[in-house]
Amino acid sequence: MSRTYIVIAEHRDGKLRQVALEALRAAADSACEGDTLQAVLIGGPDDGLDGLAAELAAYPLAKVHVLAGEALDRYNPEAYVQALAPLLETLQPDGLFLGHTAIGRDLAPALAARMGAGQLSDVTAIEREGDRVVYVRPIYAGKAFERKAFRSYPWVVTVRPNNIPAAAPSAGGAAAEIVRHAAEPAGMLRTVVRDVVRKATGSIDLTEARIVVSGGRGVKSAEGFGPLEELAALLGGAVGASRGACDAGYCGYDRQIGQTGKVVTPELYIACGISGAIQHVAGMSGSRIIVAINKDPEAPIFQLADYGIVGDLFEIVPLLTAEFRRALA
Amino acid sequence: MTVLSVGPQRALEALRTALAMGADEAVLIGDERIPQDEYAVAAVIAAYLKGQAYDLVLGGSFSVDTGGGQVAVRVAEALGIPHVASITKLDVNGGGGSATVERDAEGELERIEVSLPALFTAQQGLNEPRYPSLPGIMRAKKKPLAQLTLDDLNIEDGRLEARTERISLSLPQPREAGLVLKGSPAEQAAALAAILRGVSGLR
Repeated sequence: MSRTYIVIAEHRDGKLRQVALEALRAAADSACEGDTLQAVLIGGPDDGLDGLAAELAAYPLAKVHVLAGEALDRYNPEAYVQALAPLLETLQPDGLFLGHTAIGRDLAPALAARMGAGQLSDVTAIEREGDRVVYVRPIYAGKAFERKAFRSYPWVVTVRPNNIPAAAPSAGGAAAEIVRHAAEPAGMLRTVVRDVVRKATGSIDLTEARIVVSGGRGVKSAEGFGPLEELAALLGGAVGASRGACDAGYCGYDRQIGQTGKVVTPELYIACGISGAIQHVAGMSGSRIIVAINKDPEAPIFQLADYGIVGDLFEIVPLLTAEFRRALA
Repeated sequence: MTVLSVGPQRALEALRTALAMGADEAVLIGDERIPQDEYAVAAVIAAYLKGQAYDLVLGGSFSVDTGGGQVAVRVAEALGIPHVASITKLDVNGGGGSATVERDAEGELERIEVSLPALFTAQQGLNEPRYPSLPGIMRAKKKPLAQLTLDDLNIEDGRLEARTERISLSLPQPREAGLVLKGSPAEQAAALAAILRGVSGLR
């Protein structure tokens, strides 16, 4: 039987997010010959969805659905579910794929509930076992992995950013059909986003960043994050923090990496003044390369760092920034 | 305020702690027929809540063990009430007709107004849980703690079929301690920059 898999392709600031292409790859890896892949772009009238649809059409997709509406310019769980539910009702997907992002984490279970679907969240790899598609996901904050499969259709899957390779555009330039849908005027919304209290400081999201520079109690103050921010900006990375730094009030909890915060798996993780408590390690141990800078040679972070420097971060980090700056000049 | 858990007998301990911290009543729904699947657990909680009066339903944003992050949001959908996940601030507005919450959305902080009843899930930073006091612990012993099974709930046939199954568990490759650089701080920084340019595809 031919199946239909749909990717909700997330975008931000007028660009497709990397995780959208990773979710597309996850859908492709879950599909068999003869199955159909489609994508849905949802957003406000001024989000440039048409341009994004043209971009997505170059990928191996049968259709790209564009769902634009006034109430959809900013993520609102109620408005998004109201807009997507009728479209999904029409398309009857066997599988839905999203990024495990602030939006995907929120939207996926709501849609799964509407569809009567099972869901596997935060998937980091996809394997095949005969006819069965097996999804690998971390549990116990990354201390173990479980391999899971669905027992019945439909499915909902969210993929952890930076783990599954991005889909590649189709060979031969075959273009997907673009289908525009007008989102029905939203009914009375009980949920209203009043304002955005704080705008994102950097354009790079922590969970999707290729490079993360992170600070712990060792940064000593809010100002202590300065050198880390400078290094991150130079490398095109994002700044994170340990729970210790957040609890001490040096930065907001939105930067917290760890068991109770965000989980990141960048190419390069630079831990500055972070001891390496289990709570923190759970959020970053999947990083490809880990660098630790800490005054204490006995700090547990050195047990998992690929490269370590025993020293004062306020001395080392600016030197490191200067080294990279010189190389870039 | 009622605290509710779906789980084995050992969850009673957590419920008693919550009563000692100030909750008024506790309910444990324990039944071996409930599969370990978010779809099914959400159906059980929704079936219980459908028979109750509520203004505010609170859950965690995800569990630290399986980390699915689904159950609470599914419950909101099943009850037909609005939800906001991962909130870091909650104020119930005068009169109790609505609540204003703050939600961290990848570095942006949104202020959202929601009419009640509604469901919210808590993220780190929402508040500092109080410690159970000794008088609280004593009072908790007299508070109602109900233990229910599926027979006490009205659940349609088939609603509890697990949608997913675990095939196997594995441990990640342990990371090994790597190279600790030597030399003066300037030499260490130069060595590190050279290594990172080589291995991590930096510009």
